[in-house]
Amino acid sequence: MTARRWTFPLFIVAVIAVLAVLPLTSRDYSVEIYILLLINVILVVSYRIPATTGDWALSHVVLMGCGAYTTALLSKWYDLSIFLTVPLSAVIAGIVGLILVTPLVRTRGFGFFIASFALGEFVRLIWIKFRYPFGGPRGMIGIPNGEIGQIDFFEPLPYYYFVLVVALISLFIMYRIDRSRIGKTFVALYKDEGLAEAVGIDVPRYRAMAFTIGAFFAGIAGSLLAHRLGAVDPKNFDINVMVYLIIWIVVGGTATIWGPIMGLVAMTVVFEWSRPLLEWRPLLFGGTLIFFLVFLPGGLEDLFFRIRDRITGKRSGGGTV
Amino acid sequence: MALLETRGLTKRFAGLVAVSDVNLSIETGEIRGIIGPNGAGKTTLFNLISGALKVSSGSITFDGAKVSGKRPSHIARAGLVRTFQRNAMFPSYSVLENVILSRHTEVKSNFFQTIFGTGHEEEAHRERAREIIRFLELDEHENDLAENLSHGHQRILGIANALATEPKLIMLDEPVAGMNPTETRMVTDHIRRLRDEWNMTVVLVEHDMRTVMGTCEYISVINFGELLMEGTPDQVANDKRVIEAYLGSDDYDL
Ligand SMILES: Nc1ncnc2c1ncn2[C@@H]1O[C@H](COP(=O)(O)OP(=O)(O)OP(=O)(O)O)[C@@H](O)[C@H]1O
Ligand SMILES: [Mg+2]
Repeated sequence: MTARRWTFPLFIVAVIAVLAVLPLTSRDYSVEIYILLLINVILVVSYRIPATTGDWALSHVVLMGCGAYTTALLSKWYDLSIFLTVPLSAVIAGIVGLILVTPLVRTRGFGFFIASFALGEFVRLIWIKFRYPFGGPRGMIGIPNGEIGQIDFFEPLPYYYFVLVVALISLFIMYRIDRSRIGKTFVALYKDEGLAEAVGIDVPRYRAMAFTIGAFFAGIAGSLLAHRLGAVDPKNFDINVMVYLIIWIVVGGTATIWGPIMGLVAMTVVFEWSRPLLEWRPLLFGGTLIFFLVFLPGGLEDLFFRIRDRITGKRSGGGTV
Repeated sequence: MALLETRGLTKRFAGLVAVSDVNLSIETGEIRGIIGPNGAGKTTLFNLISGALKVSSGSITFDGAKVSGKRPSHIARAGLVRTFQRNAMFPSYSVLENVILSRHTEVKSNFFQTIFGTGHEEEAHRERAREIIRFLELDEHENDLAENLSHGHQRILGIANALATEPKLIMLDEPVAGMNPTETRMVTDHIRRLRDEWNMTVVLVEHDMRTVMGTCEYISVINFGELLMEGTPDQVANDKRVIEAYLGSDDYDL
């Protein structure tokens, strides 16, 4: 018990230290990959929040896109600083999330899955159809990379540190939500919806809250992505990208905040290693997905916690609590 | 005016009237029994009153306000709570966490206070949850996961979760089903203390006739969705229609 109280903060400090030093020893190409990885960490952890209530949405990358488009418009038109575009993009994505989820909470399970896809495609259609202001099918280019004083975020290294700080803050807040009564309520209403309502938990309201919080942080990820790529394209937020998100979270697991991160890191490594086998990638990823669904439905985190408990001789499981 | 009142309460399922024109009137401080053979419509009646099912027609008034058409969470907030015939619980959480999570109606902190722990009410909720658990003699299992409890303890946890909402009226759906005689005695004793010491109004659905007869002062009998009769345990036990309704059913052990 006391040992764990120390090992966990030490582990976190060690991880942050590694993340701070890592890019100094890497080539620019690798730093670009780390930047995308950190952005995707925010994305995948934000996707888990509504997933804990049982809501698996197909609209999540579209909400990320809302953040990206907001950033594109705000920084191109109003030349807003990156310190404003990131939070404002989160707010706009959150608002769009709230609008989408209002009809969605009337559905559950497969109905929710399909309806969320339809609503997401509807938003994407707006981007494609309205050349003004969204740039139509080709999207928008020329989005400023952002800067801080004299430091230009066009350089990968400074931007990496900026993204690292934003990611750590986002993760901290999402971690607090997960551990709070609100996060536990999300899981509780998924485990027994009838009981949750009976003891006064307004289930649709909480599902909407989870979805909106997820959209908010997806918006942050989208904003960071838009500043990095300097461009947004409706294809960046289509179902193909959504499938990757689902693969990450299925491979990692959803019981804790660490599962999605494990899945993302593992599959990013696989993705990079499989560059020479380009045409085999869909098969590789599809196979991985099926393997995990069949043989490891709890994901990598489940495996990790089981191994850890075997070593430390503890009995309890991964601890959704 | 009665605390809980139903007027012409009716529920139709496809090709079946599960609850038919039921008028109930339950006063503050009562322990009301509701009995009836298998499939009589007792659980459906609870589902209607608690808002889990939409009424087909009729109305429900609780504490002076119309509650029919409201969702269960709103009705729970108004002080009307029910337990389930099945063992309902939040399985991956401990007994204590179950009861704390069920104190939802009492939470005052806003979103940010909750997340960053700046609200000061968590400790108060924990204390109150412990009190409820102690009252139901579940304190030995406070830190056990709900899913690992014995059947009897899971049913008691169901009551604890309901009490956590600080209800004025609690509806218990076969609370002692499947319990051994010792557990049954303990729970019926708690039910009486709920009324006597916690000033709660209790509505008790029960299959086990002896439990109802020993616990309730007044009983409503339901048969084929209709209110067959109401009366004291003595009146009910000696009523021809009741005996007939139960005749040939396993529950006939008056
Ligand atoms: N959701 C539903 N859809 C269709 N029919 C239902 C539904 N719920 C209950 N019924 C039917 O309504 C009738 C009343 O069921 P209910 O569960 O209320 O009885 P009960 O008195 O609680 O019985 P028991 O003593 O076995 O618990 C039964 O015939 C049942 O099959
Ligand atoms: Mg029943």
